[in-house]
Amino acid sequence: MLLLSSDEETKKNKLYFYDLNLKGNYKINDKNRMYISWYLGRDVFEYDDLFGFNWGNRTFTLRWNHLFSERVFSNFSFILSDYDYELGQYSSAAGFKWTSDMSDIKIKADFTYYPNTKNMVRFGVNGTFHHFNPGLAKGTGDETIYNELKMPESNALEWAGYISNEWKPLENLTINYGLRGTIFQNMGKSTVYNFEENYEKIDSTTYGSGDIYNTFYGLEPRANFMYALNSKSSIKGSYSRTKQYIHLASNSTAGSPLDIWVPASPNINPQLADQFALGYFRNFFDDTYETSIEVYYKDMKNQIDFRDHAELLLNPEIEGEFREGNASSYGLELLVRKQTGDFTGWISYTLSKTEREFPEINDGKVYPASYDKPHNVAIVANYELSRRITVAANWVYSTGAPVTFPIGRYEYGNMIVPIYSDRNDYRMPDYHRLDFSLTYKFGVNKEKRFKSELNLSIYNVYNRKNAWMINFYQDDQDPTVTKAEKVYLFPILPSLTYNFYF
Amino acid sequence: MNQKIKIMKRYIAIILIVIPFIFSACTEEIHIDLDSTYDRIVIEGYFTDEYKTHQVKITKSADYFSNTSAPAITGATVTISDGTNTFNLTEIEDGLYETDTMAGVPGNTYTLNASIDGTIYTASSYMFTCPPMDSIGFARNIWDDEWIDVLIYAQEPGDEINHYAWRAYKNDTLVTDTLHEVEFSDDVFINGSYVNGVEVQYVQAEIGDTIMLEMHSITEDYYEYMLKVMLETVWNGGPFDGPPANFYGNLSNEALGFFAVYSVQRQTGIIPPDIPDAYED
Amino acid sequence: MKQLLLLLTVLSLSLASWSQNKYTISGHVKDEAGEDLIGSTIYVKELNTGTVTNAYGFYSITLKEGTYQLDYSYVGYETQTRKIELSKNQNINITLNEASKTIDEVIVTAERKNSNVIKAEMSTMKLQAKEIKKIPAFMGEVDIIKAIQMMPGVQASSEGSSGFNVRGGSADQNLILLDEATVYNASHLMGFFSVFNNDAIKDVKLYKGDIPAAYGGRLSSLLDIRMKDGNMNKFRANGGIGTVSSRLTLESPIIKEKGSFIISGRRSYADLI
Repeated sequence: MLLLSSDEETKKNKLYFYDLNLKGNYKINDKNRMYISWYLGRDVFEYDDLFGFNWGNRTFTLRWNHLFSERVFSNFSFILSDYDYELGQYSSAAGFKWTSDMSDIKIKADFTYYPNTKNMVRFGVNGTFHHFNPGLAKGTGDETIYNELKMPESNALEWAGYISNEWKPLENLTINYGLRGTIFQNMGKSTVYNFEENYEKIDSTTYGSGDIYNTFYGLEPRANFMYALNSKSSIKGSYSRTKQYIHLASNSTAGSPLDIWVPASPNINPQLADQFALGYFRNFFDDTYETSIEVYYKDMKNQIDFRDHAELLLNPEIEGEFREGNASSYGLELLVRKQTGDFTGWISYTLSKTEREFPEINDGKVYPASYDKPHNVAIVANYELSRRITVAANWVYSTGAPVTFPIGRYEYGNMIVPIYSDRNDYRMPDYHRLDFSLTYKFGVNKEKRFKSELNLSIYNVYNRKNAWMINFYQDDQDPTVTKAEKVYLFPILPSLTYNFYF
Repeated sequence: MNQKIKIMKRYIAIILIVIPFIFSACTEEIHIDLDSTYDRIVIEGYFTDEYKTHQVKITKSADYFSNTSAPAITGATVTISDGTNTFNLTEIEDGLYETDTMAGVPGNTYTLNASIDGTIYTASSYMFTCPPMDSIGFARNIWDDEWIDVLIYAQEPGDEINHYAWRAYKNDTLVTDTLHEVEFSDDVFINGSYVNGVEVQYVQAEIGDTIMLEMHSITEDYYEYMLKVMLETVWNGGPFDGPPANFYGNLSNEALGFFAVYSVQRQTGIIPPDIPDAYED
Repeated sequence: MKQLLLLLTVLSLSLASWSQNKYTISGHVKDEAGEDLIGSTIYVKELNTGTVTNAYGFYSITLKEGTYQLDYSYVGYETQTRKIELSKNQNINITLNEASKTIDEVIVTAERKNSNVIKAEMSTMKLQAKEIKKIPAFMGEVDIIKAIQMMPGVQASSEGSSGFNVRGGSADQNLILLDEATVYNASHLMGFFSVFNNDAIKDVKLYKGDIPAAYGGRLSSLLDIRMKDGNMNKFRANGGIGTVSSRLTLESPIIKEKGSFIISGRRSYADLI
């Protein structure tokens, strides 16, 4: 991959990732079964012994299925989850190291009770302990020139209890109704900054280890119904309320591994959404073709965004960068899917709109979300030509993403400074791409244990230079001239993989 | 945020920009149709404690692809006052207004008044004193050995919050004439300490060249303003930036630009034959 | 509070059909390798009703004494039918075989494969790992998130990114669970690849709305990823060598049909070139 770049500088880079999945399970007896799962993944980037940057997730789950009776199934889980990163510059006195991590410990108990054919009751409780260590940066040299910079650590407890029933009052009517209750508590040891209305820090409050200093409650009803018109078609509808207590402090469309998760707190409210959906489902040709059309409306409150020129890196007062507002989205989704036979795949089309309204952003005017793409098409197809050869293709299309462009310019300090339009008033060019693959299986007719296949995949078959970013800049040669350029990531990319099984 | 953390963050920003480009991201010039916006007034004014004429440049905004110098605004009435006296500026060139030869006094607050087509644009700024520099030194830059770090040796006054900017001259010519070449900082880390050879500017020079380091003691407003200019020009373009935004300086009536008031200190040094590497003890 | 009381009342009313002589048929549905089949349908012909296996392949159905025909089915597998004389609780475990390519689809019309129509569930889409494997691989890596990004209602956050937006929600509003553990950053290499190795995965289900009450914590979606359990009957290995990365998976029973494990690893080597 790096071969594609012939730059000498690039060759000094090390860039790789690895992951490892491990799982075991054991059936103790007919009523008890244990599972243990473990995942570890890491990304590493190093530049010539000078920079280093690595990040990754780790998860661990221990689960016990227990059948209290033939009608009562239960599962008990113990779960650990961790995400961390480390970034450093390793040259003598100017060296520094910046680390950040967040981890969860969770215990869950879930029960399903199957009393009769008309009801299925699910209920359970769980509790999660979150630990946030958003960032610690310090010098590494013996006589370091840096002070230590630490973002306040904090903890949180998230509790949930739920009960729901799937009820079939009639042969062709099923209704699901349920309620989820949640509690979120901030817990010390931590330091919380207090801000006044202009988001300037006034002072801070420190909490001792284990002190609960803030509690949020949530009640989230969930319901749906399915009304079968006949064995081939049905109408379904649903309503759900969801609440979110931790937020990703990220300001760009391309998320970076440095993004940190920030819990709801006295300074940041939990997010809330209500979603309504209605759909018509219909199968054709003996259930070979499944089709559906769904419309949805989603109303979101306490959404997060950031002030202009927000400082999100290593900022202890990061909560002062958050701004709160509302968002709403609605759309129509069409799906045709075939899952059996030599020819399989699906076609999906989505028509949608997502808008945001924040009093302190864009002068309070409504603006499109950066992922508001009205048209979105995906065609995924796979065809088994013969026992040896399979071909597959997919084509995706979406309207260009909204973006903010300059609409004027002025000069200051011998530099050209752009004047920008309203937020997300323009759009990037539309995005579309075709991928293709061909798989050839070896040893199909023989009864050998060892089988293999060769897969040729081509990404972006017609080599469309889809714009990834559009930049405006001052020309080097003639300082009064400004230009626009587009950055595109992937030209046509073929790849060859040899797969084997035995 | 102290200056070292600022440097740390710049390294981080570099890393974030470099990584995606390892995948040989390509660029291509494109044509885009952009709308126009109403004209804005842009006022760029400087007033210092040096005994010389001080200039205020007044221009207008233009279309993004106008590709000419900023159109000047002529015939404005421009004055600077210290609260007691008012000094009139004369238009020496289209859009360029100049005071008589005079010097500002640290401790005063100066107010700029520009009357353009009946609207008055005004800004005020306090002039901080600037501590003197004892001497300057040189070291070879660790990232690119074509560049030489200019080091400062000075006592930072601890009694107030200060912000500084530095420019460099090589053999009497200003080499940092564009805003993105000016270095600036707050004093959070160094407040009250003796600054013992920290690099504040960068030059490309030969042995025997005379380097003059010019230090400005600026206001916090101006420091914040320069940061925003950088964020919307040379420091943006990475995939991890937030959305771009417009910003104002210290002028009223939505005029763009800034009226910067500061005091100046200078120190000279000559590039010696043997320059140590940066951070070598 | 009022909502809770109302809920409990409705719940007890619907359960009030106490009847005599009811017996339960329960068990697990698996495939030939011993993997639990999640969401497999059990259809009771006489009552025109049925149930579905849970995340551990378990089902339970309580019926009045009598004779029933039960059809067990799962997409891509041959349906199996059992005739049951129900006079006591029974434990019936089923192993389904993959649909053979030589059998013409038309013959097996008796089975009902209409679960997407009659299941009281909407705004979801499920993909088995072997369906994901059929999608063209970006730089040789079969990727679950790239498959998700092609579902209706889902957008990719930007080219090459592992972030996705579901029904107008931001990229942090997706709950990504790997065997019930939350994954906070699902990207390798700035998002060009996801952290999920398809060889270790059994199936993937995306809920774009209508998230069951059992789950919460994120506003817009639930991406429930289940790992394979490991072949219960014999040792199997599979892997691949590609231009950017290579992978190897080993699975084996510990005690035949009682316990098994699976270990799966992957590494990229762009830097060694």
